[in-house]
Amino acid sequence: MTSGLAKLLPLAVLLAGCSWTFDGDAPELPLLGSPPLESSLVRLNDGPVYLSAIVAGKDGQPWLALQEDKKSIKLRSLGPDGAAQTLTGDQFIIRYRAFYTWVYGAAPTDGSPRADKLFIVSAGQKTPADEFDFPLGAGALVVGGNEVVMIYAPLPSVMKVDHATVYRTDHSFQRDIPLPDLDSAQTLGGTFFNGDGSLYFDKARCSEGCAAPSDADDADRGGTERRVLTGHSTVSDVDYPLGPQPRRLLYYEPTAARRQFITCGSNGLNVVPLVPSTANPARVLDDAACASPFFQYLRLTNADGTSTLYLYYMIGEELRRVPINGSRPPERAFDRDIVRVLGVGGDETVLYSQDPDNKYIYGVGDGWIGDWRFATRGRLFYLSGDRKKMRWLENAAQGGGIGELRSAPIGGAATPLARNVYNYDELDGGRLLAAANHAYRGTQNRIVVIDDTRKEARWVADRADDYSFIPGSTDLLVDIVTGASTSDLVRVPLPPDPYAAVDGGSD
Amino acid sequence: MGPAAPAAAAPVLDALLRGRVFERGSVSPVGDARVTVATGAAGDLETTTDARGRFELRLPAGDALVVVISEAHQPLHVTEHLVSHQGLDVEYRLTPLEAKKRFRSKVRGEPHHEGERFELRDEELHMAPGSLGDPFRTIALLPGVAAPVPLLPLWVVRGSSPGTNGFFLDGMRIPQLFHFLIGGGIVQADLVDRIDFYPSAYDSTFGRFSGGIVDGETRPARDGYHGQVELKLYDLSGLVEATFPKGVKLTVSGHYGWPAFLVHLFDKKADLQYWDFQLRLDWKGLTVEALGSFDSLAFARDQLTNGTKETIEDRFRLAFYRVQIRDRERWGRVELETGIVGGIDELASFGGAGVRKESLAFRANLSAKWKRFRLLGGAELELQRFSAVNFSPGLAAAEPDSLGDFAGNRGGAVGGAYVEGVIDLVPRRLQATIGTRLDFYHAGHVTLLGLDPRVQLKAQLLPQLSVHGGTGLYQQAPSFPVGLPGIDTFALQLGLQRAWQSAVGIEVNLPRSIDFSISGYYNKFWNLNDGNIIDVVLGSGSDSACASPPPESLTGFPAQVTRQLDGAAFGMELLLRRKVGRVTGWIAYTLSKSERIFSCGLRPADFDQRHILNVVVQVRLPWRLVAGAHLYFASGRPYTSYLQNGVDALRNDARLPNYVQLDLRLDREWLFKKWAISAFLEVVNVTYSTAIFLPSTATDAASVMSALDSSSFHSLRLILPTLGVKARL
Repeated sequence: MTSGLAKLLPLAVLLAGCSWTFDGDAPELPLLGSPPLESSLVRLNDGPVYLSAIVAGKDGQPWLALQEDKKSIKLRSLGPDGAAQTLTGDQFIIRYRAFYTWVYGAAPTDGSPRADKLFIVSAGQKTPADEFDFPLGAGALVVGGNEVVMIYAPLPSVMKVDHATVYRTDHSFQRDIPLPDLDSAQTLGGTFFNGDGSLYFDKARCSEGCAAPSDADDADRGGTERRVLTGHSTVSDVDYPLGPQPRRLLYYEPTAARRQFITCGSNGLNVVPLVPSTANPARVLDDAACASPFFQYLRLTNADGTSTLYLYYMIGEELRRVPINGSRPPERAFDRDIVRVLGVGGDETVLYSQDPDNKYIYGVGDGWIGDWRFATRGRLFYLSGDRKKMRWLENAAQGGGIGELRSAPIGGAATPLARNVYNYDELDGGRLLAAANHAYRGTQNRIVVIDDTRKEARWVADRADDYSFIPGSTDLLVDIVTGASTSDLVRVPLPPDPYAAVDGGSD
Repeated sequence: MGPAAPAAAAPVLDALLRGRVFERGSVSPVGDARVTVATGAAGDLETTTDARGRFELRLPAGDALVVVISEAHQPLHVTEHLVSHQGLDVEYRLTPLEAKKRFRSKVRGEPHHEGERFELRDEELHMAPGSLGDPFRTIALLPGVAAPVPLLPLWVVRGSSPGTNGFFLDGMRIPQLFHFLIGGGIVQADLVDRIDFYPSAYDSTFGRFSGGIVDGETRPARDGYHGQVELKLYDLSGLVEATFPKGVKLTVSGHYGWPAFLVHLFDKKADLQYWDFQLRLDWKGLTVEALGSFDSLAFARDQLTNGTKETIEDRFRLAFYRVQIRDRERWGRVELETGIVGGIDELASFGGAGVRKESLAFRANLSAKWKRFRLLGGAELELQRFSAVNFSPGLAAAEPDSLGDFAGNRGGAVGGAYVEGVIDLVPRRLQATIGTRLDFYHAGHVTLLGLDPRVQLKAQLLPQLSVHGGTGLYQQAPSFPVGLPGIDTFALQLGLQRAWQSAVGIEVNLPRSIDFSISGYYNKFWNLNDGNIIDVVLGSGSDSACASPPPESLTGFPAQVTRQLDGAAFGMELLLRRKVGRVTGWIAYTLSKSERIFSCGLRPADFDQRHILNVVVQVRLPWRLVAGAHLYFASGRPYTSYLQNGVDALRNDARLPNYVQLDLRLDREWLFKKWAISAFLEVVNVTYSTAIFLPSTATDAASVMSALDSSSFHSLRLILPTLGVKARL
């Protein structure tokens, strides 16, 4: 019998086809726990969702706005009461504090423009909506300044006009503002408000005589082409003509008395006050021709304990800094030439890339801190909150900017955390929340929490395409993939940090 | 004893007739032709021509009736006047019989492969209607082969994945057989001498593929000097053959295509080019070959560079080159074939990112034959280096990571070894082939090993009746859904694809040179890379319905097109074929079912087609005309109608319409003294059938694909006429 088996053994070996895999690649982080059962999650939408947003309700709670058809928006409170509301209209503009709903009037038969109404209402608002009449119909509308002000122009196809109208949303004031560039300005593109909405700025095409001198540093992206900048008060009829200014400019308003622009052009880096005064004069911060694509404010502590706000910017391949108040001349802020600055940390750590931003899509490029080149083709570079680690998406030069989430101690070796990450955020306790396994949108997508110190990951949600933080809670609003391009929206609690008690940390 | 009668005077053979016999319309000598001369008194004197068509006869002076007879030619009668003590040099040209095949394969030895095999030889290779004269396209007309995407040479062989088919040319592996779209094969058609197609359950001599095998051989140059040029509407090809002293033979061929004007009918911004070349040098058992193939599909698009708009050509490009030194020797019962192959493969995707593969391969195949036993063994090794390359550095938006594992910098090595015994269990009645092969794949930090045992049986039950069968394991590294240059030895972490293939068949030789065969097969698949590239490319979205998730270790495009699925396929194939006679051709019918285990359960495979019928008929007509017709019927392949059902839709719950296509072909040849002209007119799809790729999906204002628009399809409807003229020497 034994002999018979021995004879059969070679035949069995021959007939049993085998394969063996020897994989020396580092294993992925273990994915712990299990995703919450879909049946346990509350579906916040009723049908396929085309558009969703978290907005602030009048009751102080976050609300979820869901557009499931073209003519209505469903609102669901994400607060404890779970209140619901429905807005109807013909066209919606969703902003954080209110909905701007166009309701079309009856179409006139005589060919004259249709008169429409705009209703402004917040989620959970018990009182009637603010109502505005627009005899020339729905048009371009820009809302700004914490949503206290808006500017309107009718569609050029309805009527060409030479002005736009600014409205305070509380009906307290309105004024007409000339449209200086009639060919395209009626779309209101490129115009903007200041932070509190008290000023509106437009940029008109520059007429003869205001092109800047030719300068190599200023020659890219239309840098030589200036715009005539004008400020308009939204609470009075005062205007602030600022003249031709470079296209690269920053608005800086530390106080109401010091409203100013910082402009970057072939004439250098300049402070241009709205109203020049002895206390706030126009001045040159740096007379070197400027074409910086990078600006960052950073407040640095002086030796005497006071602090100074600096502006960091590029001149050629040199990173410079200058006090906004012009108290010191500009100086080199980094000791080597760099192609692109990705960010400057509070301790003046310079995060930079030696690849131009158009080498790969989505501005992907290599990543450096000092002499440490930590990324080859990365994006979404972030220093950890404790500034001890660098996190980024590697190999991200691909459609969607998907990449491998990596973490590395400053100057150390990188650890791959998750593949095909679409987006990530650092949570309060230092853990990372990531939309992973997202080579493309599909049911394989998942949301995970990653502890890059302990090298482990935990489930948050399965089939989950993306997430949003729900203000005022530790919950997430998660898109669950339901179709080729449709989602369900569910509320998912963020898993607590199991080591929080040990570490004393929390999310 | 009386005086002896005077003997008749023997004729004096003092004149010499010397000459050569050629085939009319060419410079090809006719060997083995019988030259008979009626001399009257001396009776009939005769000789035969040698291989170079030469003959020599000593004859009496005077008029002589010369008759030259060759099996494949019309007899030639001519009267010559011979003068005493003088010689006469002549050159005769025989007109080929109408039935003589215009293409005749000269196979150098039979292939040492066992298993069910469809052989394509002679005119079947070159003049089959529906193939546009391309030998490799004829494969699609055979049983067991589904071509689920009209016009594209994408083959599903016995339910497997298109990316699992292997292509061999003169023993070396090549990544693709065809140029883009209508470009035809990557080897000049007249250079192809034979093609053998092994649909499944073949022996251990083929490895590292889990689907079917196409094994082609080119031919060496013919004796003498020959040349030919062929012009089609969109393609020019040429072939030159020469024989040098000491038996050195040289063939140079290639073709160049300019089908852009056809592409412009559909897209003015598109441009399509292709070319290929082949060089073959033979000396005794040694063959040196060089070949290359290039394809380019470009679209003009606008790009902003430093604020300036410029029009650039964004190009998808395929190219590969091979140089092979091959030697075949025979010592008694032992045959040895060795080969060294160097290769460069390049693929550039739109946007410029791509991959270049450089490879060096070695192989040796040994065969030793005894009376009732044949032993085969072999080994091969390919060293590879892959480099990620930006082939279009001028393009602003480079996406090198979109190619993911396809294009990473890496070194690789693949290889294998096999041993096989062929035993005549009952001499000339029953033969068994038992073999096994061990293959390895290595790249990066991953190594895969596969051990594939295989068995074939062949029995000659009656002189006219034979049965055959085989079963075995067929394993392959991860593969792209379509064979492409440079896309090789990637994502080994996914493990081997595995297919257990089994097939049985009966072959019957019927009267009138008709062969009939019936085959049944069952293939079981594990870990098959079976992405539906058509869905992905056309963006239908149905590939996400009830879809298995992409392998997590993949990213970019590989993640979109790669699915690892288990499944099975089974079916039956009928083939009625006539190779000889005035009317030739075949009727091939395939009944098949191919299934995959998707996340929602067992469903039809994406390329499953239940019924496929190919009827190919060629008829020899007077005036050296050959008319042919090809009728093709295929039942529609499945698609997913995900009307509001989202990702939980039942995958492949509907089928595209059935498809019928008729192709017609007419060949005519004109013979001149030393050269000939032939012309063909082939009209593909005279039925003006609509080739459907996928149903289109309706989208609403928010670009949400929520409904299937069954009234609208991604389709193509055209009649494609092709006119070709060929002059040959």
